[in-house]
Amino acid sequence: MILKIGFGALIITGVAALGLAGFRGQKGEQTHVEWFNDMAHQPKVNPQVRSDFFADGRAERKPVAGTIPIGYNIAGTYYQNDGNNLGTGVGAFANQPDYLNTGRIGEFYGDGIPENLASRGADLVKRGQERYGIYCSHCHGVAAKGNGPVKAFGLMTVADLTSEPMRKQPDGQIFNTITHGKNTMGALGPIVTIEDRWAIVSYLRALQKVAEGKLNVAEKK
Amino acid sequence: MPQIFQRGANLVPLKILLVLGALATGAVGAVWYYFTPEYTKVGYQPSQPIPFSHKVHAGQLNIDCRFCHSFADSGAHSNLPSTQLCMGCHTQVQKDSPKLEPLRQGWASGKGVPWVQIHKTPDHAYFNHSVHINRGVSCVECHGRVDQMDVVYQAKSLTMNFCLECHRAPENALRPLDKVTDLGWKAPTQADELASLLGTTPDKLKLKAGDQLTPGKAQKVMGEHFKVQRGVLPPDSNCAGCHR
Repeated sequence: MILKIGFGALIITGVAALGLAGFRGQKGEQTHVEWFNDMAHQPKVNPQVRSDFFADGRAERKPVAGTIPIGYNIAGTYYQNDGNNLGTGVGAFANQPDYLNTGRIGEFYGDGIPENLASRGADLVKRGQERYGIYCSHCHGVAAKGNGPVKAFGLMTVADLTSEPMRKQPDGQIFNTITHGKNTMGALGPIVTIEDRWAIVSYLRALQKVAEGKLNVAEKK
Repeated sequence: MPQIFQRGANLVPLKILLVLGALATGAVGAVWYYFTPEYTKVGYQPSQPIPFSHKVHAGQLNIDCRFCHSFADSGAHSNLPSTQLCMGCHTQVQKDSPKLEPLRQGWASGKGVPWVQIHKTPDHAYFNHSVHINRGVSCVECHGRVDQMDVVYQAKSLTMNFCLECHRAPENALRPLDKVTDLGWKAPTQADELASLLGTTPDKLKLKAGDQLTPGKAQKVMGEHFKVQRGVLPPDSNCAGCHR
């Protein structure tokens, strides 16, 4: 009697629990049940989270109007020194409007990799190769022929970066295109650091030489 | 007068104990099985404001993880992309799709898209993405095959035990730096291939030329090599390594 009832109850609760709660690893929309919440949620701000404290719902604040970080200028346009704290348009910070930061010398695009970066030599090109793979190749293709996989999904125009006009563009202009985008290409300045943009330019020059047949692929590495 | 307690009554206390014991075991078993992130977090798959498919973007289109999660390799936090980055393509691709309405609204209003966060570490654990990525720990180790997920779900438990398993034996997770975002990549199982990948010879890896290795062994050999080369020494008993 007792055994029957006892074990019967156990089996029924067991089956019911499995039925209700299921197994480990089942996919579902339910929010996490946190049985032991040991200080996992602290009243601090984490990156990219919501906050109801501020009217706009953002926990991360923009700088107070009219203030500029030390070492920066008031922005007329957007370029940055390092880090990735780039905004767009009014309110963004800018460093010195020199060739390294803008790709321009005065009113014109300059040519050549800025000296302090060019001294990194092959390392810079290698870095460029890696970064080209991350930021450029899915549209422009691994060989920069303008035939990356995204092209087939409805991008109207993807420039062939090995074409004659592209080869003739000064380095500064390519740098500027990466920063601000051009025609249908979006600005990549917000996600690619200044150094990496120059690295990509230097790697792109190597790709162009390969396409021209002036450099074989083994040499490039 | 018949006996009130039959002979069988002698066994009643024993039976009660047996049932209670079974119940207690069941309860402990239930807590063991259910009261853990293995159950509460693995498989968490919330629906997002936009049915964004990683399978299409990362899998088919082969876009590197770091194009959108741009600061994963330079910062502690792996960021969600800005609405601007989404619009970089989606002003042209699928530009009238009703599924992308929240994106267009978020872009127009400047409020962004309210994505639902899936992977969370507790506030007292300070996980740094860049430290792991720059030493060759692939995304796949903690996030699973995101490039095959139409709707992302949490694949690993991310418990402290999960962290420590790897911190005690990092060689199981180290790979070449250019394969970190190549989620399906595995160490070559051919001894010579493995050696040439590591820029050395099979002898120096204590392997015989022409040997065929198991995938686990190949990973271990490669991991040991990178562990020494990169000086990987993750905190495994120093609490302050991850907790502050």
